[in-house]
Amino acid sequence: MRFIDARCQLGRRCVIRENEPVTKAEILELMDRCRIERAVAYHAIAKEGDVKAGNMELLKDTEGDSRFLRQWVALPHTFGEFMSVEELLKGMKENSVSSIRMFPKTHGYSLKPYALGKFMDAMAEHKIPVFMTYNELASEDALYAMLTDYPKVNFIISDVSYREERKLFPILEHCPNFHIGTGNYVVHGGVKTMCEYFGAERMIFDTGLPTGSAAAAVSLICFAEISEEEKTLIASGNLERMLSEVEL
Amino acid sequence: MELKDHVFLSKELKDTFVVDVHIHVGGSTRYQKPRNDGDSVVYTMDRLGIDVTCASCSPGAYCDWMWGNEVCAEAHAGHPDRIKAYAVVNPNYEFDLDEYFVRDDRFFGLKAIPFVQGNLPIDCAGMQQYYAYADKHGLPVLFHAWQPSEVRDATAVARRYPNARFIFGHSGFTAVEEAVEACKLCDNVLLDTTISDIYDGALERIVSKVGADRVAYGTDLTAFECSHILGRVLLSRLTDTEKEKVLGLNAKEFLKL
Repeated sequence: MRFIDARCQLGRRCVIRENEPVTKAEILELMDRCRIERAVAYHAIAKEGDVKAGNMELLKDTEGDSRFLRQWVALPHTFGEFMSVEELLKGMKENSVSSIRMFPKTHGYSLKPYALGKFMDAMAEHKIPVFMTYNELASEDALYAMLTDYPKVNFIISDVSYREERKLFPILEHCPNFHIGTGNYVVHGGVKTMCEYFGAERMIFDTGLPTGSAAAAVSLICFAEISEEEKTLIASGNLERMLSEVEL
Repeated sequence: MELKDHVFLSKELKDTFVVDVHIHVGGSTRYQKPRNDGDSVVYTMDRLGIDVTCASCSPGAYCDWMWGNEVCAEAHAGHPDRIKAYAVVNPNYEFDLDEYFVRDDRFFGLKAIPFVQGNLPIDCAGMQQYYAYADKHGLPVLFHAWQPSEVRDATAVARRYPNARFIFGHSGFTAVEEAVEACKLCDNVLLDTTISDIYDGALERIVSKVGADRVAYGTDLTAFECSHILGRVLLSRLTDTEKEKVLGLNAKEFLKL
């Protein structure tokens, strides 16, 4: 089975724990050990320090490296702080960036159409998937609002814990553009349940490397009580299809 | 075949003795907790090749602990060789544990989690009756030992009651310094691997500090999955000999299974 990780962070983080991977070489060693072929990667500086500078660092860190699929972090274009939507799309095309990650809580902006409408229209038009972690959303209601405000954008929401099913299952039922990153979705038999109720197409394999566990994420899928076809979709098929549909 | 290959082949661990020292049965008012009965636990155990699990009733810790213990005893009764039952104890009540260990042989140890029973510390007065009983009869006690203060309190208890055997749940990842100190000071302490989310390398870190003999496989099943924690062990940088100790041999000796 081929694994492609939809959530990996490169670059030096401010805070690390003892024996936690930091360098690209350490991340690659873990990917090799866990048989992860490639990873969608954004840069730590783009999350923690400066979005534009971090996106440029990503280009340097992944230059000539086919193991990483480039992902930029985006901000709303508010009065010149960040690239305009047109500049963003041009930069993505020129630099083979195929997806966007957002940190609305950490970076302090609204997801409402008055702030992000034009940006999300472009994501929909160019079929660019948008990634974020669940803790970047204020609540399940904020998630539902985002998914229904932008029904043509594919969202991948990751780091969903085992305590969220009561909140998220009704949203999955109503919002086909909602996909769950599997990395921390460790409900007992949860992957099987998701496949039964919503289909394997709604799950995207991710790890959260280097702060998340690649070993745990891979094992969760390998040991899941689902078909090989479903495993393949989750491990790489759904993400590859989504990224292949991007039009830049 | 190396142990790690079981992950990639999706194969259960047939030739390795596996014990999960930290699971739960019963539902939850706080979140959806599917497949939480004894039959479902054994189904998962069979799929993965887990030989024995040691269970307490998690909702019972939060409400009527005696009701919860009946739920757990029922899971054990359905699968006496596969599911061992911890009795949850409650420091707000005086209780004669002979009820569970002399007049009744359904339980094999105690689960102590007093912080959810009125925010009480592990070493509070109401718990001493239970620790003294465990000490007198050489029983295992599973602590919820997450915070550094909890681990320090648990260490004090383990030193005071040397004939009891204590598993410090979670602590090897959440309060590393204190867990290492506990292992240095107390021969009757074992750490477990229970945590929903932790980075690759954390298991190797604690094993390097306390030795592969002092860590046992635990998962919190059915509060959440157990396969991802199994994978964390199988795909770690530990040797297969060390993995076998963590997965079952340590628990077998410590719990006298």
